Amino acid sequence: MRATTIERTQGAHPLLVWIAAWLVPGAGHLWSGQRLKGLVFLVMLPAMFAIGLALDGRLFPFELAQPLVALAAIADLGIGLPYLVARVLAAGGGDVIAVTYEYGNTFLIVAGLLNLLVAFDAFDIAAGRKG
Amino acid sequence: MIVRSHFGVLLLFAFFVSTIFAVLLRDDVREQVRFGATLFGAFVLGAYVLGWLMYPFPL
Repeated sequence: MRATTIERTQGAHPLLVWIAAWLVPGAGHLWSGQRLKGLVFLVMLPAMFAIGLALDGRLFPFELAQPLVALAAIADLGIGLPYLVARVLAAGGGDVIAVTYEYGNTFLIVAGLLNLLVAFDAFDIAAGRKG
Repeated sequence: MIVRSHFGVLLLFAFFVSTIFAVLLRDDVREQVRFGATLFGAFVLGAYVLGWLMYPFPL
């Protein structure tokens, strides 16, 4: 498994793998030949993000004047392409009076952070630090 | 709104996070299932325990 993984990612710069893994959840692991892991991430992470939107969560703006809002915005952006699609579709406005508003925010933020974690894992695999 | 129950959302959240962590941190499928189930149980049990601990201190 380890030899296969290293062979597959050989030639690919780890940073390139990280960017692919960030943009499309699971892409980094699929690139490394870890199909099962990649497919699970490809399905679960965007699903979690979509549930966050369905629960009336908000995609936070980058407001440097409010550090916690800015950090939440960075976490939201962590999901990659689904975030950009949601922005284009003007989704993620958030409904602050909805009973599930905070749950929605939690789903959106955690989906983004988990995808960043997954992307760094893919980076480590591509760099040969992990099998 | 897809889930109205607070507990339902908790179960959904615990399921997603447990599955992703299990797949990320374990390589063998059997270990992934065991680790994921343990994590899921810990999430749900932890929420119950914290919920009851906070019961005497309503906001």
